[in-house]
Amino acid sequence: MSDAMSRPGTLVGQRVLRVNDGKLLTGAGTFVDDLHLPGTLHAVVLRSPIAHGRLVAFDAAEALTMPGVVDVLAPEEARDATRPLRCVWLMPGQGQVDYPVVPRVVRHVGQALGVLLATSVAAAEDGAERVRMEFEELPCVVDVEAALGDAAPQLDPGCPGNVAVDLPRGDPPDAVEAAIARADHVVAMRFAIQRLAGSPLEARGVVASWSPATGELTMWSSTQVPHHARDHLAGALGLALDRVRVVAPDVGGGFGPKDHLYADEVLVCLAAMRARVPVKWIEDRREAFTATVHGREQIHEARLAFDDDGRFVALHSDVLADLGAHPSNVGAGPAFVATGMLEGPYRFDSSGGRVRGVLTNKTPAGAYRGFGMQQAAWVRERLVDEAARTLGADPAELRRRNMIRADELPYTTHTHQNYDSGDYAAALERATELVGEGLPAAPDDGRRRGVGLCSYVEFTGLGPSAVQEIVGFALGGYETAVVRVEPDGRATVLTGVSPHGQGLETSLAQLAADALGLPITDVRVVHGDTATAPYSAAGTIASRSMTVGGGAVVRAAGRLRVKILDLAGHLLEAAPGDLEIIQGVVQVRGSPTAAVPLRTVAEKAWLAWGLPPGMAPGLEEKDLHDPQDISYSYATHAAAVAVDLATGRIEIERYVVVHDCGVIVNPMIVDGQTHGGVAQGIGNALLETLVYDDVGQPRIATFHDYVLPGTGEVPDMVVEHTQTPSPFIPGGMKGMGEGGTIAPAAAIGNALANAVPEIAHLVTETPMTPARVWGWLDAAGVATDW
Amino acid sequence: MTVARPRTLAEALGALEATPDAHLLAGGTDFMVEVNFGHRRPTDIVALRRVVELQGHEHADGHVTLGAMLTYAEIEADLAEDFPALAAAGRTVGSPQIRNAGTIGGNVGTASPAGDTLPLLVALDAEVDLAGPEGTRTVALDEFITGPKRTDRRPGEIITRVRVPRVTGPQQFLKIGTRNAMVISIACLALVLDLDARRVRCGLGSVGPRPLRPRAAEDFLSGEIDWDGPRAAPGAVRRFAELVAEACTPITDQRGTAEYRRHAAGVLARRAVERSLQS
Repeated sequence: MSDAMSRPGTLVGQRVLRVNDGKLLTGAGTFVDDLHLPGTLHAVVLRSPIAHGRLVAFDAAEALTMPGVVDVLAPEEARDATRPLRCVWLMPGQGQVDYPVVPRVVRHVGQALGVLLATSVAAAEDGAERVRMEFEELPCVVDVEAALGDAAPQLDPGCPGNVAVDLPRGDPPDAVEAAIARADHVVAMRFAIQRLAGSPLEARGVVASWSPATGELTMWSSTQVPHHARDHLAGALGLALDRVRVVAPDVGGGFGPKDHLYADEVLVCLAAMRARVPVKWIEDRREAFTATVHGREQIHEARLAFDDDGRFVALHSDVLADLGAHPSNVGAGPAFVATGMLEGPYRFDSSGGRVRGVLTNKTPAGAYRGFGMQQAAWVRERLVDEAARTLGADPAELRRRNMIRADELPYTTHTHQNYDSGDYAAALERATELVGEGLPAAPDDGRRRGVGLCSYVEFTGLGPSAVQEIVGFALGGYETAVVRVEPDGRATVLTGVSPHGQGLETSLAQLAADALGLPITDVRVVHGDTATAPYSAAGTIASRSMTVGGGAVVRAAGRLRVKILDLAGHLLEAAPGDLEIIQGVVQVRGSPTAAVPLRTVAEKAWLAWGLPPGMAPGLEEKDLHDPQDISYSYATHAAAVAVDLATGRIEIERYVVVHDCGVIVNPMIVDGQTHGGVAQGIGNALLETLVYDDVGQPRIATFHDYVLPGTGEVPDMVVEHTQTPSPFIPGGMKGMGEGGTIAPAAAIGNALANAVPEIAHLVTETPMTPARVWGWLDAAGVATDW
Repeated sequence: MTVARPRTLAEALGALEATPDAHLLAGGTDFMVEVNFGHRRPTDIVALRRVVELQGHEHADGHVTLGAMLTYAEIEADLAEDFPALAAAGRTVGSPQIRNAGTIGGNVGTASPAGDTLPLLVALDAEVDLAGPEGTRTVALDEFITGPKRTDRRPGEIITRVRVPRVTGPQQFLKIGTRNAMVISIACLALVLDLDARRVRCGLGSVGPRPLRPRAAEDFLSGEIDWDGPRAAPGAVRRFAELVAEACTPITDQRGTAEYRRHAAGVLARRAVERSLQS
C-alpha cells in the first residue's frame, strides 16, 4: 500500500447522513413505476392458477375484443421466441440446469404463461380475466419429504425421485460417523425452517422499450443486478449484449429475491418488442407472494457430538432443501452455504453434511438475506444449548471452551472456509455481559424468563472468482470502480454494484471523498445502468458491495490521489510526499499558503497542458478488484425473553448485538442495517411463514396473514461493534448487510428453551408463534390456563 | 360497474332500489381485499360514506347510538369513556389508515367471525337499526348475525345505526393473535361487569362461526360474584373460564388450531375477569 492510501482519512468512520435520503423522503425518488414513457402500454402477466398441470387450451379471442386490450402474447408464441433461463449456481450433478421462460407443464401457482397488453392497468386486468386457459391437472406434491416418496409425482425427468441435487459436504461421511461414534454424548434433533418471502417495500417491476431503429432493448427493472439481468435477458431473447441495456432506477429493497432475471420479466420485454411501444409491468403484492422466489425452507436432521468435558467432537447435518418448482438462479445454494457455515465459530474434530435439493410444486426458493447462514445458526446454536443442558454446563462457557481463539486465526474449517481474522470469544463475552445489564428485576407476572445466545461467523464478500469457479457459481466475483475527478474538481464514482436501500451511494462516496480530500457533497456515485456502469457479474448480493465494490473504490481513489499529488507537486514545485488534500485544496503539509485548489489541478490534468513528463492526461482511475479471499464477519447476539405459559406468547425484553464487520465506513448505516436485519430476523423467529394447502394453493398471499415485524415486536436493541480489519480487502471492510438476520431465531429460541427447559427438546421449528409455542407447552404439560 | 355515491339516506335507499344487487360499501377494509383477490365481482356499488344520516353518534336515554359510518378512529377518539372495550378493540384492528377507514356499520354488516368490535357489541345486547323499502326496523345484533359473514339484512336494507346500551362497570377487550395488534384475532373476548344489573356480560370472537355469547358462563359467574366488592373466588373464575372455553366452536386454520383457540378463549376469560375485579 502506498503512503497515500494508508493515510488516515477524515470521513471513514463518520456518521455521515445518507446523501440520497432527501430525495427518497420527499417522494422525489424515481422507481420503476414512476417512469412514464410516451405511449406506454400496461402488462398483466397471465399466470397458472394451479400447482401442477399441462396447459391444453389457450384462447385470448374474447380478451382481444375487450376495450383497451391491444395484444396477448400466448404461451406458444413466447416459447418459440425465447431460450431457457440458465440456473447460475450449478451443483455437481444437478439434474435440472435451466428452466423455460414458459413451460409446457406448469409446476407452481403463479408461474408465468403469457402477457396481455392494454392501454391501462385496469383494462389489462379486465382483459386478463377473459383469457381462457385450460389445464390437464396433474397430481402435485407440496411437502419436501413427501416429494422423496415412491408415490410422489415426478416433476422433472432429470431429477429422479424429485432430487435435483445430492452431495456430501465437509469431511467424508465415514470420518464424521467415526468421530460421532467415539464421542461421549450426541444430541440429535430435527429442525424445520419455514418458507419466507423477502417482502421488499417495492415489489418487482419492469418498463421495457424496444427501438426498432437501433435494435436496442432497454429494460428498467427493480433489480439488484443490472448486468446479470442484462446478460440473461440477451440470452433468453437471442439478442447481442450490446443491444440490451438494463437500468435499475431507485430500487425499494431487494433482500435477495431480486438477484436474477425472472421469466415474467423476459415476457414483458418480448411483448414490448412485438408491440414496438414501451410496456410497463408492476408486480402487485399478491403476485409477489407466488411469482417472486421464496427463501429459507429447509429440514435439518442434525447431530452434535461432544465429550464429558464439553469438548465438541463432531457436527453433522442432513439437509433437505425445498427448492420449489425448479432450481432457481441459486438452486440448492442456500443449503450448500448452510452446511458450509454450519461449524460457525467452533472447533470440531470432524464435521460434514449432506445436501439434498428437492423439487416440489411451490414457488421456487432462491436467495434471501442470510442465505443458508440463518439456518446454520439456528441448527448449530440450538444444538449447542442442548449439549449444555445435557452436561449441566453454562451455554456461554460451553461456547467459550470450543471457540476458535483469536490466536488460532487464520483457521480452515472442515468445509474449507478460511476464517480470516477476529476475536470470536470477545464478542461472546461482551454480549453476555450486555444482555444482563439493564434488565430490570423480573416482575412477578407469571411469565417465565430466559436468556439465549447465538454466535456465528458469516461468509461475506463473495468472492474471489476462483472460489466461485470451485463452487460452480457462474458469476465473476470481482467488482470494478472508476473514480474520476472532473474538470470542476468534483468527483464521480462509477460502480458496478447496485444499491437498493443499503446506503452505498453514501458509503462508497465516503471512501472516495476520504482518499481525495473532498467533502462528501463533492462526490457523486453513479450506478445501476449497464450503459454507464462498469461490468458487474454478480451485482449487489451476498454482502459484497462494500468489500468487493468498496475495495475497488479504495484502490482506484488511492491511485488517483497519488496522481493528484504528483501533479499538484509539479504545480507547487513541492515534493508530492509533503502534500495533503484538505476540503478540495492541495497544500503543503503545515503550510496552507503553498496551496492549489483541486479544481485547478483537475483543469490542468484534463487540459493536459504542462503535465510532468510521462503523465497521462486526465484524472481518472479504474480498478478491477477480484478479492484475495473471502471476508468473515462475526457476531454474538443475545436475547432476553418473557414467555407467557398460558398463551405461548414470547416477548423480547432485551436484545443485544456485538458485531465485527471489519473497518466501519459509516457507523450510522451499519447500525441501521443491523437494526433492520434483526427486525427481519425477528419476523423469521416469531411471525412470518408461507403456507400451502394439499393441492399447492398458497394459503397466505397478503400481509393480512403474512405478518411482518412492526414496532410492537422489535425491541430497542443494543448494538456494539469491534473492528478487526479484513486482511484481504483494501480498506479493511467485511460484509455486513445480512448479519442481523442470521442470529435472532437462534438467540430467541435458546432464550425460550432457557426460560422453559421442559420444552427445550421441542424448540426446533420457526416461526415460534403463540399457537405453536403453546402446543409445545401443552405437550410438555407446562401450559397454564391462567 | 356502477358506483352510486348518495348523500342522504333517501338517496341511498333509492340507489339500492335501482340496483337491488348492489354491494354496500362502507370503509372497504374487507370488501376491497375481496375485490382485489377477485373473490367478489360487484357490478354495482352503493358507497355509503357520504350519507349524512349514517354519521356521528348520539347519547340517548340509557344508550348511545352509533352511526353506521362511525370509524374505528372516531370510536377511539370520542367513545373511549362510554365504551372503553370498544375503543380498545378499535385500537387493535389495524394500522391508523385502516382505523380511519373501517366503520362500525361495516364491521356489523360484514359479520366476520373475527370482527373485533362484535364481541363487545353482542355482550352489551346492542341492536341494529335498519332502513329499507318497508320502513325501519330494529334487530338484536345477536340475532342479526346468523353465521360467518351472514346476516339477516333483507334486500334493499341499509344498516343505519347501532344502538349500544350504556352499562356501568368495568369492561375489557382482550385479543390473541400472532401479535397483539395489526393482525387478525385468533381469539378475542369482551367482558363487562354490569354493576347495576349485577350481571356478567361476555362476547367472544374468532372462536365460532359468529360472535358468541357464552350465556351459561355468564349466568354462572353472575351468581358467584360478590357484587358489593365486586369480588369473586379464584375457583369461580376458573370455572367461568372453563365454561367460556366450552362455549367455543372454533375451527383449525393456518392461524391456529381449534384446540388453541378454545384454550385461548379461556385464558382471556380469566384474565378479563381478573382485570375487571382489580379495576
